[in-house]
Amino acid sequence: MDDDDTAALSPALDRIGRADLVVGIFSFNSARAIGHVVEAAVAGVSAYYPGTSCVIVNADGGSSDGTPEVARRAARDRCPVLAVGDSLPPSYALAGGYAGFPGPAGSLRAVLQVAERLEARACLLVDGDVRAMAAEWVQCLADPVLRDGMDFVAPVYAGHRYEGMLTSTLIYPLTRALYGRRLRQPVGGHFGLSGAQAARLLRCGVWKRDAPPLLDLWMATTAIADGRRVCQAHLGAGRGGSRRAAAGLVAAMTGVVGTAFMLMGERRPVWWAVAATDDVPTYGRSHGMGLDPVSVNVDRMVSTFRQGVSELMPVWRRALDPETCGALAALEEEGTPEFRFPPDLWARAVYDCAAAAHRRALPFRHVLGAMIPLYLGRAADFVLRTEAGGEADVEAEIEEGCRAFESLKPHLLRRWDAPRPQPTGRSE
Amino acid sequence: MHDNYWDSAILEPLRRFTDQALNFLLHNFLAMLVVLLVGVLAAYAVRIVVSVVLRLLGFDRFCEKHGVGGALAGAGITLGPTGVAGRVAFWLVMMVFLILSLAALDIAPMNDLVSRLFVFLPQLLAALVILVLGYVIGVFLQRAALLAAVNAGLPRARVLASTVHILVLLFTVAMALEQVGIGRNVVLATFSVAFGSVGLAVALAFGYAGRDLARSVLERHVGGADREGLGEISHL
Repeated sequence: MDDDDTAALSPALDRIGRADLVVGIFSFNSARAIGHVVEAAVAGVSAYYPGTSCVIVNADGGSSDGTPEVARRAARDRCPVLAVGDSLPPSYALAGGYAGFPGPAGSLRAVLQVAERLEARACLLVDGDVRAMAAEWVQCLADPVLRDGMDFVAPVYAGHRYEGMLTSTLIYPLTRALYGRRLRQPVGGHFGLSGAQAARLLRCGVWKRDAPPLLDLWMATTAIADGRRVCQAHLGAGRGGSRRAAAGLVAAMTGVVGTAFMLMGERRPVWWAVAATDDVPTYGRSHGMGLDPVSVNVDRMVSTFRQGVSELMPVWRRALDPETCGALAALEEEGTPEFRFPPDLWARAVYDCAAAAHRRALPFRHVLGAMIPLYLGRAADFVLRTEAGGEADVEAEIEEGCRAFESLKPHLLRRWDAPRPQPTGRSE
Repeated sequence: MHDNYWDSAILEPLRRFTDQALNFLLHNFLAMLVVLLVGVLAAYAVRIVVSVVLRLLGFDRFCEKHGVGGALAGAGITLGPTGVAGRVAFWLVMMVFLILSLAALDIAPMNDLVSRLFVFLPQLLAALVILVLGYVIGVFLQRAALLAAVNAGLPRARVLASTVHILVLLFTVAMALEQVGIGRNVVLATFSVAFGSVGLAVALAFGYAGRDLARSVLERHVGGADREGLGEISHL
């Protein structure tokens, strides 16, 4: 990756000189949605920040359906549209194979470089696939930065109760317990950054890595761990249409959880000392949770968990505490309606896996693969406990999970540097 | 006449044998023991030097970082990368001195064997390396197959994983035997036939008996929504 991804844009950037707001729109074969996204962005800027200079940067991953042209046409000369781009990983093009931020590292870096070059006060990052984007989202993401001096704005999407299950049961509780900030959705496709934060991110070493982490979780964790001013903003239904919403479980687990574990290794001095959590400022009003009945195959989840107990126990023993293994084995006998996977057992299992990944008790991807039946067991319990309840019940279940992660953090501290468990002699 | 016969037929050969045996014991056998003793000392010294140097170089950390430590642990080898390297160095040196000690015996057929062993040694080492690597890779792939099968909800995941392990081991043993030149053609032919037969059997079984399963698997994986059969749940 070159150091400056925007060299080709230099004449255009020189012409523009400065801009208050840079909106980076990430796309890949998004011709059907990006016109609407650009319209919403332009409308949002003119409605909420009249007189403010704005530049749209379309970071395209090599679309073959004319996405950049659609984006340029949609702006209709109301706002300069610059095109940057870095080729996407092949998995992005595969159905459901990509769980990452909607754009590769090179594209994000190019957008941040444009923001720095134009001395932007705020930089918004937007998923070009999400047709639900409204003009108000510009205000939701930019206002905290422009008016209140926030450095990082994360989205809070509305959706039905089982949207973002991995985020609700693992990423949010883990991030909250580790770093002490209650950022509800650290993964997403829409973010707001201050110009200073964009410049700071550019100085990070992540861009030189062969395998960069998932960029949204990395941006959120970096902002929190570095003590920046972090907040969240209610956006409404924003997951629909995004490619990552359709990401398969394996892709989600290896991508997002893998990044969370990797960042734990890098940020240990920060989270080791955190003992309490506090809220982050929240902007906008909650759009509520969809409570319409949804079809979830709980039997399939429970059967995968049980198959894990019966066939993966020798693998789990390498990663998990013996007490955790014993408690998991005890869950195997329960029938589906009575099935319970308590949040504290889930928190212990996640912490054990994080420590096992850190100590290389198993290859990294094997740790993440071994977590899938555990996650499905916890998700089944979550569904069984909330399917008849309302929004408050769902939120209470999420909160109970968070409390379990917080109260069991000493278990993580004990396990983090514990010696590698010796093989028991039982074959896998 | 009788005394001469006794001397020449019995005593003289016995005296010559005793002289040769004493000569052999005092020179060749003692030399062999000395070579062996030096070999043990040298092997221990090399093992210590290798261990100390690798520790100073941070070899364990390097291996942990690149997953070798985990692979060794996963294969049930608990010594750690430096410990393994030290042991390997020890036995390599020991093997060389063992062959030298055989040469010190100075027995004509043994000398021939020793020279052939020296020629054979690199091939033997290569075969050993292949076997060790094959074992580690086999354990890794066995676990990967087990995890993939359980996460895909396939029945008898352990049988599938064990099959993968056995196939990798068979492949490894075939490569190792080919390396040392034992039954080269027979091993390769047997392995090719066995591997091809398994592949054909799986293809036929999948094609005839599992068409519906194949269709549903492909639909789930290529079709987009609800690939995991979990219903209307999204993970992110």
